[in-house]
Amino acid sequence: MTTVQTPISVSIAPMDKDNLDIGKEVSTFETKNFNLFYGEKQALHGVNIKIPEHRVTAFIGPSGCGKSTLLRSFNRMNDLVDNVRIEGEILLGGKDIHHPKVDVSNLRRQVGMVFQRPNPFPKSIYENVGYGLRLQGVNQRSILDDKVEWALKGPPCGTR
Amino acid sequence: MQNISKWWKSGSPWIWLNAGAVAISMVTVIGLLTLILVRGLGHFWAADIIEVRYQDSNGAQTMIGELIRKEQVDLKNLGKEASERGNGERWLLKTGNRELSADFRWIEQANIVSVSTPKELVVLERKEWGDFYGYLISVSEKDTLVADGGEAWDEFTRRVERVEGLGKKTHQLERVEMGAINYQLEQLRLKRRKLELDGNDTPAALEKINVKVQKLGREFDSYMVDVRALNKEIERDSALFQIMDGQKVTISIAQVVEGLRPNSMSTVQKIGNYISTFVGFVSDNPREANTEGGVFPAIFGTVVMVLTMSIIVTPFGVIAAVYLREYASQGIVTKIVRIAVNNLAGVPSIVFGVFGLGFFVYFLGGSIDSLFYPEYAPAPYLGTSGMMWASLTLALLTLPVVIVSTEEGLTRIPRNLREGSLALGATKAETLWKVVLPMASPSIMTGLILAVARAAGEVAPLMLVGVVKLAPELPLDGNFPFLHIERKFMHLGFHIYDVGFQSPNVEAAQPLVYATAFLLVLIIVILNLAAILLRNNLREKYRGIAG
Repeated sequence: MTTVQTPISVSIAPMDKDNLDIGKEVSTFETKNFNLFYGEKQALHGVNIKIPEHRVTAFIGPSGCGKSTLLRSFNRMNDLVDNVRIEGEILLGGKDIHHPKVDVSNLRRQVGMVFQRPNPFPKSIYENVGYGLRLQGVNQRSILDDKVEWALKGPPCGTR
Repeated sequence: MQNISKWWKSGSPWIWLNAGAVAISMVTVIGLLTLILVRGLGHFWAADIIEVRYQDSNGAQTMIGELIRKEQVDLKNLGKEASERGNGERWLLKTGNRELSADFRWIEQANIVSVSTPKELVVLERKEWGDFYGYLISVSEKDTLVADGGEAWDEFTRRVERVEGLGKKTHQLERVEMGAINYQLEQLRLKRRKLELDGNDTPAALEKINVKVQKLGREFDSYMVDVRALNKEIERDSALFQIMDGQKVTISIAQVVEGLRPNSMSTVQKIGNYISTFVGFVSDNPREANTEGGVFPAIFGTVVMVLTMSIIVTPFGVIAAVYLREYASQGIVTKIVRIAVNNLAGVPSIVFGVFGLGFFVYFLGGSIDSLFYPEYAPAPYLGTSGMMWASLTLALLTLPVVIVSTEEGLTRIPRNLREGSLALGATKAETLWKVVLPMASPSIMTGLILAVARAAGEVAPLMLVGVVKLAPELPLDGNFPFLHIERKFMHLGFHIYDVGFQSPNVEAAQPLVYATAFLLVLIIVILNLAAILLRNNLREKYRGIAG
């Protein structure tokens, strides 16, 4: 059986087109020979990329080529899938995110993620927006009020 | 021929079969409820009393009573000469006055000379010996006559009301005030015993208890004096009646619960009487080995037991389901556990009763007694059947349904919702607590509804672990700590069995069996409806998201 390796192309939106040199950028994420298997099926084949800091990086490829799988590997969402096996490593700021001492929920707090489909929780909009803050132990009403209002009115939702 | 095969292929026979099955189920349910309703609720209606002139081989006699039912009989089977009159109708007459003669008699219609409904006929519901039928002659206070003839009835009803008022006072004194004192005295006795056992019985401590005991004793005695005075007042009046054989009987008004002249009552009065009798049935204590009076303690016991059971079973079932579904690695062990849980649902309930008695009552209760409550010995405290063990046994019995339906609910929560929460940095426990469990709550409620329906109707295991024929005290009362988990209690299901099959007077008990059955069905329906409403509310809340 032959597996077709789909190359993952990384494109980086240049801030300064003339002086673009990925090698010189400070990278946030770095994967080293990263392989991922769903049971017997290999989904990622030896991925080696660097994601630079302070830039928007987009993954482009045909459907089923592993974009989402790679993305989900960055905050270890793939841990939740049964029978997932990984090889190689992913570094966040130079540290292996699969190290046993890494607190997964802490990692996920640092590596935010927006899903393809929205999935609101069975709570009020206020509680939905404030959910992340509450998880971090922020329960003070005034702080929550400010942050939620900011999030609903402010930059993430367009105009102020 | 071809038509038949076509009809067969078209599937219509199956539709007819299904429709038939549904129709039979409907008829059964409706028939059952109607039977219970008619037989049970008819009991509270103040039916007319008839006076029957009767002539048979023993000569002429008059009978007074309530017509219970008529039936066609083959007189030959009764050992009578069939040739004379052929088959005939016989009537069952409730003639009451159980202390004087048989209270139910069969009379043959052929021997009846005349039937009348005199307006002056009186029915007394009494505290002992069942109903009384007769004509009121006079009313006396102590030994002096106060009223007779036309005024006797009004005087009589006034005095019955007076006795009722006094009776309420004595009840308040005896059951509430003196009951509380008795309870406190018992607590003090236990406290002293505990001090002795712990070797802390210093004279000072004992003296403190003694002072309290003496104070309570004085209070008790003063109540006792009041009660004696009240009882004397209650027993003051009496009434003279003439019964069906012409005999004159004196009845103490203290014995009368209610006096009626149903033949002279209008329909409106009868409806009013019906409602008050029914309310009495629901709110009174039983009398005369449960064959008279109300079923309040049984209703109360059933509801408290079911609620306690729900409080126990829900957390246990949910925790077990969450572990099985969310935390345990899905493998051979979880499979075995699931099979075991499902089989638990199929174990006959009496087996749970035996287990409850052996494990909860004797082992667990006995151990707790000897470890923590040695002062109760030799009487057991928790080492005997009671409220808590009954609830626990039923919780065990209903655990499978809660586990299964909660698990089903958990699997139905969309994966992306959990991931959404986890991606925001929530731990698994936080996700479960804040997102998954609230969304699974309708399923948990479904499990609880099934559990309640099963538990409320269960009788067999309860007979072993806590239900009794007559419980002197309710499991919930005004004495601290209010909910007395160690007490035995009464239950409607067992009450039906007891009244119907263990009572000395089957004919008199029959309508009560139906009425109690009706109440049991009603309570289960109410409990279920409440849970269903709650579930529908929860469903409505989470509908858009889970879909």
